[in-house]
Parts: sequence; structure tokens; C-alpha cells
Amino acid sequence: MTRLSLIPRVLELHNVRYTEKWLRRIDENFLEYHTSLIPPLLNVPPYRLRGNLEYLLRKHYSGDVSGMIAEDLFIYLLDRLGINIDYVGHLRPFKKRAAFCPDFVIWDGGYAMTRLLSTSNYRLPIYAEVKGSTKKLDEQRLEKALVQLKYVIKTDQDRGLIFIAHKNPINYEGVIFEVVL
Amino acid sequence: MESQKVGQEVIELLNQIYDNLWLGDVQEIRRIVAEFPLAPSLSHKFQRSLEDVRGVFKTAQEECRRKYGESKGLYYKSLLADEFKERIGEPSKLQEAIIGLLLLNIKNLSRQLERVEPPHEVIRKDLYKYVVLENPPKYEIRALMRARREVEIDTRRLTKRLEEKGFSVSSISEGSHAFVTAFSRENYVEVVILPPKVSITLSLLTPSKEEAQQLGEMILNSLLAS
Repeated sequence: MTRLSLIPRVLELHNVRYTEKWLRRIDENFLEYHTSLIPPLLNVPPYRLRGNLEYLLRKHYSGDVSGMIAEDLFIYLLDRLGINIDYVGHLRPFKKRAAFCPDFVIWDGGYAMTRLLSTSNYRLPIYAEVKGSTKKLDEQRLEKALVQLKYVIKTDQDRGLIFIAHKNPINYEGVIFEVVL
Repeated sequence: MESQKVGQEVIELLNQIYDNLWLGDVQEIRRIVAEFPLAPSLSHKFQRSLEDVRGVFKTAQEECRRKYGESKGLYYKSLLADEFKERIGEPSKLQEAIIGLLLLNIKNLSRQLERVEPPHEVIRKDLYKYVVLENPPKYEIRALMRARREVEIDTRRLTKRLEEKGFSVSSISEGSHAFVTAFSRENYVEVVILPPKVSITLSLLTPSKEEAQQLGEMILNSLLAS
């Protein structure tokens, strides 16, 4: 287990390349994101909306946010391990067009990659699936990620990674798994 | 082997496009897409592979529907993955399809940007380019350095320059990135450095775009001077 300290503002710059939606000022809002609290907002109109509609400002902490943070944390980890993140492609936005795609492909065949894999005899790209959670790590998420990687891991040389980031009361914990055939 | 190199290059291009989108440099995106050295025959090959793999996926879906009925559960998806893999044939086809998908996205993106006017004026310097986003008294400077990512960023020079200008500075560096905050009696500055991107947020007691620009350039020059 390794503990990494990180600078929340840097996550915001990773956001630009590697997520579908940008989270602005992660640093300023980190406590709200972390504790899943809704900050008190004074500018919500005093009257209710019709039916089950809710003002966007009153929406609960969104799963989207934890997903974005997890994707950023994954890139942050790759970068810290020395993997060239210029060779990391984010495929998640294209899943609608090609459902067999994982969240990321890593096309860096450098030495740093062996720090995550158990072999140096692998074929590029390495496929990666990322899951974020506001609660503890659950098996269903892991299963979902495994099934997604099952589409693309076809031979002994194909490698996949699953990164799961979840919150505990104090900080974020990330677990990384290597997936082989 | 060819696919490996093309795969890296296409991903690098896509990431460059995203960085330039952040800056709003539409002109540069058009240029790098137009100058991307990929033979049309190769590009067609990857896009054909994408169509083939999509076709295989569709057939696998139909076959699964026929065998197991309509379902969206995890077990069904696992069976679908097996069916898909069995039909895909050559494993390299998948790599080619992924490259084809990225190329298709780049093509669509550059088509969407054809009629887009640059949102901000991009100021180009030898070692970097930047834009200023104004929201007085706050200003944001987004800069892209021309240096590669691996460039070692030394914030000591920047700290010294800011202190000379009367700022109290604190700085954290972790691997390839750094975060610097500085405040004086009149201004507050935050600098996030993640090469090739640098984001500078300035809060000025006396709002002035020129002052923000001057401070921003001083920060960028101190970071990049060798």
C-alpha cells in the first residue's frame, strides 16, 4: 500500500484531457465533494417546481463527480509512476458508438509500465477500466469492470487494468488490479 | 508494428487537440489535424476495421438475443463478450478498430470546428502561448508551453521573482507538476503547472488586464528561462 498526497488543482488540469465533463475548482469544493454534502445555496427560488422536478442546485452529490475524480486519480497515478500520459487515450466518450471499448487505452510501452504489470511480455495497448465510488468498494463494480474488459482481452499477451477509487471517512483509496485472460 | 506507432501518434494528436481546445486555439487544431502525417489508405484501413468490428458486435448481439432473449444484466453482457470475442478473429483487428474510432472522432471534431471563431485572442510567444480570461477583479491565464511534458519544472526561480515583487510565496512540487500560491498587499496569485499546461489565477486589488498579462508573462518566463 502506498500513500500519495496530491494537489487538487492539478486534478482539474487532468480533467481537461481525460474526462467528459470538467470539474471546476475541485480544491475549493473538495470538502463538499468528499463529504457528499450539498453546500447551502441562497439563490434557490422559494417556490417548488411541479411534479417530481428538483432545481439543479438542489441535486444531490452526483455519481458523475466521483466518476470524474476517479478518472483523474487514475491519470494522476499513471503520471506519478512515470508512464507517459500523452500516450493515454480516453475512450469513454465513444462508448455509445463502440460499446466494446474500455474507459482508457494506454499505448506506452516504456519501462514504467512494468511497475503495474506482472510481465514485460505484453501487447499494446493496455486497456483500463475505472470505477469511482462514494461508498466502500463493492464487488458489483469490480464485476462490471471485468465484464467490460472481457470484450477486449483476447490473448495471453493482452493486459487490462481496473482502477477503483472509493472514499473512506478520511481520504480516497485507490485499488488497482491487473486483468489477464 | 505499424499499428503500434500509429496508435501512439493518434492518441498524442487527440491529447494535443484537447489541450488546444482548453486554450481555445481553433487555428492550431486545424493546423495539427491537417498536417497529421497519415496516409489516406492507412486511415481508410483503420476505419474499415472499425466498421468490421462494429458489425461483429452487432451480429454477436443478435445471436445472444436469439439464444438468451432480451436482457441487460451482467451475466448477459459476459455471454455477449464471449460471443463477440469468438467472432472477432485476428486480435489486431481490435487495435485497428480503436485507432479507427479515434480517427473518426478527430475527423468529426475538426468538422465541428470548421466554422467556429476563436473565442479569445491567443498571444503567441517563443516558448509558450496563452489566453487571458477576464472576470475583473479576477483573471485567468491559460498557457500551453511549447516544451514537452518531460521538461523539469523548477519553481525556485519563480519563487525568487515573486518575492522580489513583494509577494509571500508558498510552493509544492510533486513529480512533474507544481502548485504555487503567492499574495502581496494588493494581489493574490495561484499557479498550477502540469506541463504543457499552466493555469494562472490572479485576483488584483486594482483590476487591470495589462497588469494581469504582465504578471502572467513574468511567471511563465521565470518558469521556462533556462
